[in-house]
Amino acid sequence: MKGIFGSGTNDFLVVRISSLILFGYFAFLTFFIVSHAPLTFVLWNGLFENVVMKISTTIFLLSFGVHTWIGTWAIGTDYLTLARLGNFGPTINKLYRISCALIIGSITLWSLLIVW
Amino acid sequence: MSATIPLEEVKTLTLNIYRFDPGKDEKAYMQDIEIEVPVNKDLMVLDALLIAKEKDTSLSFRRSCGEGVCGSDGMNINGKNGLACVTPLSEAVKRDKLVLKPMPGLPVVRDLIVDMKQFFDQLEKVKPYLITKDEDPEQERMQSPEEREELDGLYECILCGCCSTACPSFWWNPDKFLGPAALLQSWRFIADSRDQATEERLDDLDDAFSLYRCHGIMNCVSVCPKGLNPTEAISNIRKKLINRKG
Repeated sequence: MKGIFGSGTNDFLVVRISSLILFGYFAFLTFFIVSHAPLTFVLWNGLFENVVMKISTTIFLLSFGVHTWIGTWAIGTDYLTLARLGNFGPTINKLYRISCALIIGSITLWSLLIVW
Repeated sequence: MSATIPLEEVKTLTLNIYRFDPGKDEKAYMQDIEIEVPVNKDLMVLDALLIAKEKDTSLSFRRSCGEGVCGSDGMNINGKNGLACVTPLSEAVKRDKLVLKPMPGLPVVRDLIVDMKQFFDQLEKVKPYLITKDEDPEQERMQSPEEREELDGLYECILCGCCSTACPSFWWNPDKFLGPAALLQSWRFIADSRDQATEERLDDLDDAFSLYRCHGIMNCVSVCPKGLNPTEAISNIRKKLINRKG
């Protein structure tokens, strides 16, 4: 398996870069909430009306999607295998992948719809 | 005046040993063997096993040099992989009990002996030998003292298997993840100034499993009987792979 993004190094870089984006986004949100306490609906709504924030949130959501997809794939290939679970392993792995795809896909797409 | 030779003071030690003989056992079991060891002398785990074997001659384990060079007697000693011949009882025994099991993750041939085929198959994949493309020199391939120093901490590996069989990633994917021992050897040749196959070696490692399945758990570092650091070697290969991207 060459990797989800073509090679092991590409996958590794995608995971690391997306984790930095996730961290940066959460750090900014934490800073915003703390520095604007008590937070009101108007402030919160105003923040997400800003185009820069919409683009940042889109990048955050795409990072979330690829980060969790690679992460959950790695977990599945470690634990849900023929060697560990016997003949049911590959089927359980397939069901797990479908569940992950549905959950990650819905969260990402639904959030993008809300933001835009 | 006659001198009396004092009898050696001894104490009882219980060895709790994993036993499995595929010829007669349906499943593995743990067997207690009590032995007497001197109080004022620190024996090695291998010595204790040899005493136990005198009591039960069917007990099987690998051993050869008895001094941490051949790497034959790797086993799980009170929950931690190590070489029986260089692990003193004073360090290994907890509450007067010593639990000995085969190295985890590999098929058991008998008692403390594991089938190392998977381990050596993975080692073979990293081509653990010098690859050159230039014509052979008349005498030898020269290396400066500094270039030779780069190999310190790499060439000393004795391939006992303690590190790879302590690695959860190797347990989970022993056919795809190369394991710390093989990756240490891979870096040993990538780092060698005389080797001319760095790109091919890196290409072979650039998939989702061979190298990148290392999660940095560092069990390999904690158990290596030679004090080597496979995690650092893996990190060095990863840096090389990333650097050639940019």
